[in-house]
Amino acid sequence: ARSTRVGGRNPELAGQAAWVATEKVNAELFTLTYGALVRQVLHDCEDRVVEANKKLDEMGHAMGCRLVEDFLAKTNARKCLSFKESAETVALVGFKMFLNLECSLENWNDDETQCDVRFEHLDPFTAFVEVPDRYKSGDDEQSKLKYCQVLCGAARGALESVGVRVECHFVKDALVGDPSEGFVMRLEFMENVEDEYPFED
Amino acid sequence: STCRISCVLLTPHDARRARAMQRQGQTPSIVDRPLPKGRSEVSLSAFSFLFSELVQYHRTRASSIAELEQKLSEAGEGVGSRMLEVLAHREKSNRREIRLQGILQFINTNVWRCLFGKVADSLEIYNDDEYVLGDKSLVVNRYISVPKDLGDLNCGAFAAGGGKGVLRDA
Repeated sequence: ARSTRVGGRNPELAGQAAWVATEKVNAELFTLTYGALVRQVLHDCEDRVVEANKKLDEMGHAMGCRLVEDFLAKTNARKCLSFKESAETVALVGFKMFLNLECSLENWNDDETQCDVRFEHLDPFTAFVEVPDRYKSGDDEQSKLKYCQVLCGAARGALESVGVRVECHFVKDALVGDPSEGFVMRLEFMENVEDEYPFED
Repeated sequence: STCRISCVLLTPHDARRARAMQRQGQTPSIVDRPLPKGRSEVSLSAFSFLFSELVQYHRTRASSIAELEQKLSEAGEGVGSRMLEVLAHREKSNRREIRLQGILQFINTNVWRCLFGKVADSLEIYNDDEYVLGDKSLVVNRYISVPKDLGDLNCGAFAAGGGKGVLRDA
């Protein structure tokens, strides 16, 4: 694949260029494979939604840690100098080049450590999907199935791999909540993680 | 299960009804919404990482290579049976294939082309009652390398399961 510079701080352009350059497969293959995975996890957790959500997040985290290498190889990205740049890189370049997802960053707080990522759609995950009532009833948000949690886990894992620890979860999830509110993911900066050396020197 | 595909024939009338419901503030259920056209894509990387995670997940739970392949095949069955519904509506005008040759051709051509971007390389009769669908380079195996301790595991079992799912539900 041709490498594309994430330069000039135009992440949308970089994301679009990386998407054009990447090899692609039918999204329905992805969607149905992911659905098979979620069904299997729910089955193995015996319908314990909290446990299933955690498992999906862990799997996303593992994927994120691995795909960051692919990302760096394909985009030749330079080091991000602020959390804002990191968030834009993940959302506008990363989500675009891997999943062709369009999103926008909004609701930044004053010290730019927290934002919302608003998605037009999450079709690669949610096309064909309707979450049964037993996974989305109840007042407690934690007891609802977080169908797209791997995406949060992946963002978290990828950022952690480059030394940024974040919290990431959906604050609006059209599959279990109000469909007209769409999908909104919250990204919150926690801390920078220094490289750990395995021995004292 | 958390994946359902509409069996209802979706006409322009249904699409208009779904939009009218949205305007009235009612959410159309998934069977009222128009069926996706199937032209959207994701990166091969994204699929490969997802598939790899699926294999890893089952690897920790399976007690043998055969069981791992069986689990992958079952996952594939879910994909195949749903693709049958989608493609039967989209590409075959809801005509059911009732002959074995017909459904095998359907898998060889329509299903493979939709899921993997190309028709399968060959469809042959092996013995009197065995058919062999050949594919020289399975997309699912593209970035899979099997470690020695997993012997002759073939993650293509997932694709095989896809075919099985179509046949089972046809």
